[in-house]
Amino acid sequence: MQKFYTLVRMTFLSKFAYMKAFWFNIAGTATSIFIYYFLWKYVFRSQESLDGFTMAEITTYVIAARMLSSQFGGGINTELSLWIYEGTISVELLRPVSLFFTLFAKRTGEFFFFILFKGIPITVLCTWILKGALPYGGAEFLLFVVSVCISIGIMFFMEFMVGICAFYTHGYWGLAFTKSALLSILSGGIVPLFLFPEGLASVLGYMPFAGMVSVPVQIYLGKYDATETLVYISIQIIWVIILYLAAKLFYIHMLKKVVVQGG
Amino acid sequence: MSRIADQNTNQDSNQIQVRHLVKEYKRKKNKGNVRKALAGMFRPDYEVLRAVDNISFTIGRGEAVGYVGPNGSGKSTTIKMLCGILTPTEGGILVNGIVPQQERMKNNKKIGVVFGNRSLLWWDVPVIESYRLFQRLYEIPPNRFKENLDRFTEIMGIGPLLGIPERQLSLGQKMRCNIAAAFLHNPEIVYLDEPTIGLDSESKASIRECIRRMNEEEKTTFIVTSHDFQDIETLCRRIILINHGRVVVDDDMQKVKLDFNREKRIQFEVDSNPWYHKGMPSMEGVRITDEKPHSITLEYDVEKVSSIHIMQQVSKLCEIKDVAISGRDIEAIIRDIIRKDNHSI
Repeated sequence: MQKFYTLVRMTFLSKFAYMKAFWFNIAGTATSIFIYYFLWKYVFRSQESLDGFTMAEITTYVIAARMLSSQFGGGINTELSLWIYEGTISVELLRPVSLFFTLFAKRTGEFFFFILFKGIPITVLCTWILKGALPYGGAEFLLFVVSVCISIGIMFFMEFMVGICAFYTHGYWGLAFTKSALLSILSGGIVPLFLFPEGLASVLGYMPFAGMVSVPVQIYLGKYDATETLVYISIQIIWVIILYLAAKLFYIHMLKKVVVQGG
Repeated sequence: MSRIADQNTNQDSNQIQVRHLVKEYKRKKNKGNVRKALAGMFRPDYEVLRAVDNISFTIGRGEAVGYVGPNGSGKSTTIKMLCGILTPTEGGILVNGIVPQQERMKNNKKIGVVFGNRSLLWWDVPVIESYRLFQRLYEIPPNRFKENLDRFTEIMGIGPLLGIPERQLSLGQKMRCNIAAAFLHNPEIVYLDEPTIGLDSESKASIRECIRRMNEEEKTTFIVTSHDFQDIETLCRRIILINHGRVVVDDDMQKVKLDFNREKRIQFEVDSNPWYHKGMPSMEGVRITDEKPHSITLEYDVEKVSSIHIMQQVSKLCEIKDVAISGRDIEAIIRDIIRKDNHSI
């Protein structure tokens, strides 16, 4: 646990080294929130509500969804791909802890850094300026936090597998870009999932992607009743387990390849 | 069972055991033309490259071994297999009684590795933070960590660098910090793959000093690969020379020098070179390698002709102002051995 904490701390320190870049990152996310806000404002000129969403709720949806999906641009997949691409992975394999462990700690560090320095301040500020809806209630807010925390697992294992794909593609930029675009759209980060064609929307609702944006935000807004919340959180947990197993298999396969082919 | 017990008792003299080690790489064949290259996209042709070809050796605790050979001779491949991050195609490795590939984490805790072209530190954070992380990851007790940190900060002269992120350090500074990092957890074995590549003489000297001290004081085992023969000469008592993946020489450094150093070189500074532009009368076993109006350089075979004899011959014809005799250095010897080995294939 102490090892984990120290690795998380390292990630924080590394992040602090790029504070200037981080301000631009924040500015970028804030800009995208404003753009989506004005788009939706146009939609709501002619109607009071959309599928049961008021303008205030949609505003909150935009803020939270843009915020959460802004993580898709980062993540450990680029780093892992680069390690594979440049062969640094051999150094990482010489550490006294497993690659899996190091990267998970790093991802956790990135996540908390994101929440602390970007997620909370921007959400509070934008909700206040754009007059978004507040969380539906205390319980909903707590469950939202739980759901977001579970989503680290989903994101980490997906990123891990995307990162390993560098073995086959011998590149990393295209992978990272495709991942970011696909996750943004499939998770409801760009358009709420309920606006998708009905069949597609219900399928996507059960996919792991929804667990990263759509599910937590819907919980936050109180759009799910108690049973639905429970079901969706359970689905998230099931996906974490499935993705963990898949990532582990990928990892074993990759290790074999590294140690046989020499990276 | 008896074999395992045997191995344990012999662990000091057989800390690293390598038996008939083979590593083959599959490599896609290069195509001569575009059409073949296109066909190769779907059905690639592979060629098998034997990087390490039946290597065996044993290294005892506290030995310092120079692992040398030309580029592409299989040095780094062997080091990687010893570290456990590459699996041999055939043959076996036993380090401290374990197979490093099978128990990588256990092995990692007991070894230190320095790659001249890779860093072990975190790029963006002050060096000391990387060290603190190592303390946690290797579970180094605080007292020992402080002791080691002070010691290596002093030896490597990196005190002023500890607060600086690695990305702002020069190559030499980076390397010195990396070497110190490899020793913090008191490793039993340290592998150094080209540790002084691209460094100035001062950095090289401090790195050599550090390794020499650790070898003497802590009985740390060292395996060093380098193309800088001064590294090998100052650090290693034993030399393993490989060429085309096979061991060509595995012997004591001094012995190699004596065995192969039949050729010596003598250089005279003279008042006027009697043979300048005229050519020298032939003398058995002597070769003229350089002549200028006031100096003559000769190479000769010590078994055929003595230094005194040459000096006598030269002094008959001119006045000798100064004389210098040198044996060839290990680098020249190795070059010769490799050349002969390449011929014999």
